[in-house]
Amino acid sequence: MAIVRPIYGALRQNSAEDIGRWRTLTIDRPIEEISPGGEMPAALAALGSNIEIDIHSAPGNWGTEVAVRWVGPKKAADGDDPRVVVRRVLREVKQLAEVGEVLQGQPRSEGKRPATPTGRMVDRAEKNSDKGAVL
Amino acid sequence: MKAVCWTGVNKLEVQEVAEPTIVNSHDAIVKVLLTTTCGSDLHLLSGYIPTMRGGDVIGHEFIGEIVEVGSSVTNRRVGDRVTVCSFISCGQCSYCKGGLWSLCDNSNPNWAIPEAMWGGAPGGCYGYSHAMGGWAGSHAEYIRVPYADQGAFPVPDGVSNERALFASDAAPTGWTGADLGGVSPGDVVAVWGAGGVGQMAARAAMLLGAERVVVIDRFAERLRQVTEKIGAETLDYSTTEVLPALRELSGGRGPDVCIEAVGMEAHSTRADYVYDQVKHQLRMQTDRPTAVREAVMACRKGGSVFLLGVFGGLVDKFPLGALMNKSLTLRGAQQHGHRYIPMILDRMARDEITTEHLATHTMPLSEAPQGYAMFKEKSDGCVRSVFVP
Repeated sequence: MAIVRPIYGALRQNSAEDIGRWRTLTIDRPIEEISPGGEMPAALAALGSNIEIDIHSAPGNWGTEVAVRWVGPKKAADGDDPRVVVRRVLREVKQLAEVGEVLQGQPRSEGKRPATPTGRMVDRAEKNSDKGAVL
Repeated sequence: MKAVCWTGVNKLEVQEVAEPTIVNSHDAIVKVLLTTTCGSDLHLLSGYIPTMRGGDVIGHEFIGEIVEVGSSVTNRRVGDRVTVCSFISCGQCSYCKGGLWSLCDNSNPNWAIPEAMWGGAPGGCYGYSHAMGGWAGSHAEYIRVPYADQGAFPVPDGVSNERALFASDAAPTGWTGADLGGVSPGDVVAVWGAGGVGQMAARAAMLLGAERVVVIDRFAERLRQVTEKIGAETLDYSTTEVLPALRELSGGRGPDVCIEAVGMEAHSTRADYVYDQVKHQLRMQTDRPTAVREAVMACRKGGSVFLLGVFGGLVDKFPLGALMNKSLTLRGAQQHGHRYIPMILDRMARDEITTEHLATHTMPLSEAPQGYAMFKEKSDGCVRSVFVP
């Protein structure tokens, strides 16, 4: 893991610096749609004073860049890692703006799910699939 | 309903699973009419794609009939006969709008898994592991199709199910390689792999104006199909030295465009295959890039190498020096099918693209495990097994 981390940067240390880092997502919509009259998207507004927000037009034709930084307590209200909350909300804002709803993977058709070690790993990875990665 | 489930390395079972339902308003439910094996499924079966889960329904290349639509579906109706692109795409994000549909930002709900693996998430794909969204596959009686307005394409009257089936993946994947590989009129194009995707890449190259198209494989049945059905030339690498043969066929320059349609479990008669195989079997490397190496070495100076075969992780002994010093362009992609499928269906209606010959073995869905065994071993001249639910 110590080798992988500097190469990919996807698995980061649980540091206060990382929690308070700006996390940015690009949304393919003009800034007037994302923040009409300077108003925040509802999902971001709901996080109140726990976050700082910077919304600006993206370069080229990419739309709008929405940047969010957590400045609240080290645990979110529901006990989640603040980074997870920010990532989840950014994705939600993007999907609502671009396609009108948040895509749901479940329920789905599936066969018997035997309790194997590798199966548990995949289940865990999927359960955490809104938590990690590059944002 | 019945569905084909992955139950472990090289194990498939037909199981009873729940029927899909409309979950998002842009979904449709499609009754599967035909669904086929794809060479990339073999990587799942063999356990080289690490995020498979026992009970996953596999299959991603199919044709069907819409039996239900969500409230936001406006351009598709119940009763439409549709080819469904194997990749799921929203049509609204920057990547879809830019024509790079398989990079859709909004179709892979498991985005963190591929971001950790590859630094970015491609779109979702039916029946192709949890890294690609965990979507249930098409080897079933019914399938949920998200973003149906975007990904379900009405089949023109007069185009048979057997032909339109391959407009779902093989044909648009081949077209992706030829188009984005930059095939131009007058080019010499070499294609590694004479399976469904390789044949369709060769056909696309011909239709894009290539002067000479050569397909490389070792299976006689597939090479015969290339000659008789596609109209391209062939090289049997089990009896011919590929690199000198390609130079001979291209005026000593090497092919202008080299398309690799083999993927992570390549075979070769060269020594590097033994090296790759040992490391692969010991799980010391995730992919065998044997055909990619050959493509890079074969390509003319300043030419283009395109990867259509599926790779999942890290490779060893990649000829980076050749790439840099020969000023090559290396590019790869999952299929951007949405940008090609309507055109491909039109060409199918005009008999410019024919695919029925790929379906060498058709059988009921209940026989899918045997169909995959035949497909994997390439026994009885199997090019594709096609299942009828």
